[in-house]
Amino acid sequence: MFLHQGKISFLWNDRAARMILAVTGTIMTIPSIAMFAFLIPLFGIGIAPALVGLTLYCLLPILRNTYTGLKNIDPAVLLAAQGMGMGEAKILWRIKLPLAFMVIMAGIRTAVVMGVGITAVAAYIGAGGLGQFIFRGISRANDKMVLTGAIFVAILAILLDYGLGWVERKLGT
Amino acid sequence: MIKLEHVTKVYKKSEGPAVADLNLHIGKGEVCVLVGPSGCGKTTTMKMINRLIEPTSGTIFVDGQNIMDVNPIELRRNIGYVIQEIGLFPHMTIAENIATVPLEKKWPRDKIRARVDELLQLVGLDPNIYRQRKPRDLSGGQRQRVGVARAMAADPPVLLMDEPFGALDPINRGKLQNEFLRIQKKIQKTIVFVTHDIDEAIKMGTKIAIMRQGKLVQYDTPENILNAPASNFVINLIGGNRTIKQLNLIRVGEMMKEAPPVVELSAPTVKARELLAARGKDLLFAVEKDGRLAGYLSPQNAREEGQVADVMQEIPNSITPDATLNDALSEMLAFGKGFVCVVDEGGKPVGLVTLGTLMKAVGGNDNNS
Repeated sequence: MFLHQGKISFLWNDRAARMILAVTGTIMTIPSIAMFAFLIPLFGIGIAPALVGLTLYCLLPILRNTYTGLKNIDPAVLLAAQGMGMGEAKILWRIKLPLAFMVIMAGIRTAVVMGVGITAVAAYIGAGGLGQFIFRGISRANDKMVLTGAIFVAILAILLDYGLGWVERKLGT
Repeated sequence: MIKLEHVTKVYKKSEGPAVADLNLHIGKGEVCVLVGPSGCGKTTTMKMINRLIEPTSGTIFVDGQNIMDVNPIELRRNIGYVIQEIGLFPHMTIAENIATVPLEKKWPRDKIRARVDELLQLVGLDPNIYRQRKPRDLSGGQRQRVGVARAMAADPPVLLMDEPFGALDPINRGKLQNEFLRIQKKIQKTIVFVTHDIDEAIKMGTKIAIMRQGKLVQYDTPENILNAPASNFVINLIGGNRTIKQLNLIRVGEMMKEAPPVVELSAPTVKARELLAARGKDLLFAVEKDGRLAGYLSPQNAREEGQVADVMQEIPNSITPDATLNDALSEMLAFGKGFVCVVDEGGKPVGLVTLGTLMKAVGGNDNNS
């Protein structure tokens, strides 16, 4: 619900959009290990800080693509819709979102793939998961363990991306 | 039907008003063309009628009702809207595009489907072919046809058209203008039509409102504006030869001569010679079996022996009765002959326009003025 309202307000207020995108862009530049370190004092260790960090990282690609997607719709299409008596909400659901769908989906896919990589790092703060193999492998100088973790993380990312691509094609046509 | 009283629009950041104290009465079934140079306030005026822009002061009535008392969404659903960029919804099929307003008005499904087909036929697109296509599969002219159909979908009494044919090439523009006039004769909507092209205004308008810097300069019928321009501005806007412009006012159907006798393609030329002699004409039309125009024969052509198909001359283009005499003149010049054939929608010959026809039309107007 929060996200949904955010999307509309972007079009109403370009300045807010630019500010939010700048903030989320800055968050993206923080290295994930540093980010998790910042989060530990606030959220402790384990899954909670991992989820918070992951959410912060996913914001930028999803928000930016949603914004770009909505922004790049042909203004004539919106004028026609308005001129024919479609309300704001109708225009959003029947015109804007379907037309921006591909770009929004691309943002979600980027976020998901990136998220898998960052989640692996979250093992560092005790969130568990495939990242544990990698970190343990490094501390024990066990190449095979590192490789196992890395390969499975990669496979997971590829599978998720592929799955979302399938969803995109199903919904997009 | 539409009444603007002392309507003024001032934009915050501009110096003068975009529209200043405008009074305009548009009668039911009239096509009122707003014309003038860019920035004269014509589009602003139009957008105030469906409340895409709210006037700073003044009142606008549509069908006797002050539009400020009507919910803008409700108002717009009862006013068709066509823009130059068309703005078809690219993710929807042609049928879905046309069904937009009926869907908003919650018409039953089968009524919408029937209406979509009816409209596609009206604008000259075969429903079976185009219903399920996407806008990207259509040419510019076809898309604008769909744009017009979409605007008329819920049968609104009023249509607003903002340079609807402005983005089309001259040939397609002329064709769509003629088709639109034909449709308008049938549906008798009240239309506000914005253009910067005075020739289009003369051709399309029952009345023309010439605007300059937000003010109405002259509001009259095309004939009166051509014959009695109110100011130098209007004279300059009309531009060059006013007599030739008057050809825009006259339809081919009103002035055309009777079509010459026709002869079938498969007939021997002897028959053509007999026909020419019997009717005392110097031109024959050659037609296909189904009556469609294929070519023409002059007496010289007919003198040769053989079949009509072998000796006839091809006709590269022809016009329909709802084209203007100006269209006819352009065709003649392009064709390089002193005549142009008039055919109906099925391609069957119905008449002939010659240079003499044009002279008569222009001469008649000279006598009047």
